[in-house]
Amino acid sequence: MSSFNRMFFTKMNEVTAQTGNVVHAADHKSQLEAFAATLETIEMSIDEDGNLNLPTIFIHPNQTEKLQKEIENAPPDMHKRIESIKAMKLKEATQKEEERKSRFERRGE
Amino acid sequence: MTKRVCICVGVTNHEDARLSQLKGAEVDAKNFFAALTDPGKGGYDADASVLLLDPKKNDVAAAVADLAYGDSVESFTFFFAGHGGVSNEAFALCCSDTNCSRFIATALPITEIFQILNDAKPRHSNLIIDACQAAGMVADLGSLLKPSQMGRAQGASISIFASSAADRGAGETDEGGIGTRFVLDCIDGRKDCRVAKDYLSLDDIGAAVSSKFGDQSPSVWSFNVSGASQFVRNPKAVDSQNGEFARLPKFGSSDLPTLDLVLAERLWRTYVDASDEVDIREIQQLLENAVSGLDDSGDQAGLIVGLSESFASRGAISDDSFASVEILCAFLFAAQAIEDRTVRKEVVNYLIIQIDCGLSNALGDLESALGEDFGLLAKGGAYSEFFALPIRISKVAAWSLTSLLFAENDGAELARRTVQVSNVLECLRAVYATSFTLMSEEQAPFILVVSELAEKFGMAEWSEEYISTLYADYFSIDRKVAKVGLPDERVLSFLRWRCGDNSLDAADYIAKPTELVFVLLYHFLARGQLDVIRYDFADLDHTIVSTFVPDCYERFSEEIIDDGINIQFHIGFDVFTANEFKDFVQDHMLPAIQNAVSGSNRIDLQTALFASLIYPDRMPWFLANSESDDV
Repeated sequence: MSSFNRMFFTKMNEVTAQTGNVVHAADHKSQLEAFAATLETIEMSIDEDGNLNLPTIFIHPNQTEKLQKEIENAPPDMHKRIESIKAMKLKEATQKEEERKSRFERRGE
Repeated sequence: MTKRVCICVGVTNHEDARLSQLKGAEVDAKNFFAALTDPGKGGYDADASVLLLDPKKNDVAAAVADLAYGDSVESFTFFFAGHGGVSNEAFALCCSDTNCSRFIATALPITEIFQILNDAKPRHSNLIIDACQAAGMVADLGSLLKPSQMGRAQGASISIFASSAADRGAGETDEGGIGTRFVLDCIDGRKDCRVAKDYLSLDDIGAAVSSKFGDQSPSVWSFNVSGASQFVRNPKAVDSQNGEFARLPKFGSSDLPTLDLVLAERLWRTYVDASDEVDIREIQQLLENAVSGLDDSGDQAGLIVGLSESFASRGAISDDSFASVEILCAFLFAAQAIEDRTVRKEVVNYLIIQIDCGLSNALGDLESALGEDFGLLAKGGAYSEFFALPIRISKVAAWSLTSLLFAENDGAELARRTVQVSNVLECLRAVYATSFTLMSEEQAPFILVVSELAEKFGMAEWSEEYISTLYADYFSIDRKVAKVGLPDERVLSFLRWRCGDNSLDAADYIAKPTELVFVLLYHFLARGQLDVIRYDFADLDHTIVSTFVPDCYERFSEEIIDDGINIQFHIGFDVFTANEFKDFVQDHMLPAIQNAVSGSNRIDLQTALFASLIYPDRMPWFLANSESDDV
């Protein structure tokens, strides 16, 4: 990891610790559950075509394989839960985007 | 005490019958000698100067050595009328004892004169050769900058006027050579060299003659590193009553400045290229390096002033009416590196007068050129003209309006230029309206200048139509505008992408953030036309708009400006409406502009304006500040 990246993640840890926006893996049964909980805490946006901008995940190399296996072996309910979170996030983001766009002046308004 | 000396040689009669009699040669030499030694024209020392008619080779070489090695020779001029010839790529002058069978051995090689001058080092040397194949000497000129010939670059303050191309005769008549008559016309004032100086350099005459010459093509070559050259008095300056002419600043010690040879050679190559393609940044940087290599401010000034004549006259050969002006701007920018404040100020003032004069000339030339059908199109431009012409139109409009700014204090001149600018703008509208389109972010500073100066000088009706057309075009082409500095080789693919080739990546072409949108939106804000843009912000959603305002406008021409502020907003996040844009400008931009203007003087702002017109990655926002009306 470059010194810049190291500094970046150190700073992110400081900021999230202060705001409380932290999900601890130890508090969850599996990494995948922690992942789902993480998604729930994130405010997402949509792109210009209305698609959800999904977050980029940075994960320690040692944990990558483990998470991938958990995803592959996850029960259907877990997949449903994650899809449900995404749908909710899409709805929230779309509503927020509509509110944002409503601030533009438009003819006839 | 400095001297001005000349040698005028006319060779009419030859011992070798194969060389025809040239009656005009004697006439030319006598006329030239009379003009140069006339105190009101050339002001050369009549007693020390020499007129040689039908001399032998050794007489000429001896005379050159005698005069060039004299004490404190300020200006040395060598004039030759007669036969010339090229043998084995070497040019030589035919004297009365020249034997065609042993040409190089019996004629006087031009390199022999160069060698004497390189060694004797008069401050300024002028060579005027009116002979068949005179332009053939150009091949020998390269020897001036060879280390083996020069040792150092300090002997290179030489200007050469060679009349007649290598493959033509010199237009000889009994009344004299055509080339000589044109030069004498300039000296006598029958031809206006259109320069704002008390003296003319040979470059000035060469530039004037080049633009008017008929079937005889003169070549002018010059490399002057030791101050302004005073070849002859400027007859138009003597007649002038309005004070627009600048005295030539004289700087430096009696010794000639020494330039690093590698740097001198790079400058020379850039000079040679200046007639075709000009890289202003390269010229500026080379000059800055050259200036920093000299210890004495006088020498620094001499280098800037001297080379500005050489380069500007070279640029005059270009098809681009503003080439000489842009070249002079490079010298103005580099002059900021002169250490002594007083000297720097004098050089800067001198250069600004020359730039203003060049602008006036360019405007006149442009007015004439635009009268011809499609005079703005570049020769051999092909498809690249689809890209280049709209940018060129913006540039022409901006430079033309800028010329008005420099005539503000002269009512008659302002009125004259206003008519010219109006004609130019109307011609652009009449002939090129279909090319009123946005192609590149490079148009941004031009648009800002057009917006502000057209308003200032009562031409807002034109600028409203022009900028409104560009603005509408911006949306109609789906905002596909090239970023600053798009390489030439990518222009074709940019045009394909602009025309809808979606296989190409937009990121390769467009600017993010954009400065152009800032300028366009600002235009409508400044003109009180927010209604025009109020419903367009939704279409500009997600656009990041940015500009830069320096802490002050001194050194605004530097490639990287360290001190200043980036002013940026994100449409659809920071700004949603025209009124929010107005508030943003008032809260963030205007204070920054006022701060920058308060720390800058009039010369800084004038120089910064030129920098914006040449380097399109910087905006002359100070024009938008009411407190900088005296730019």
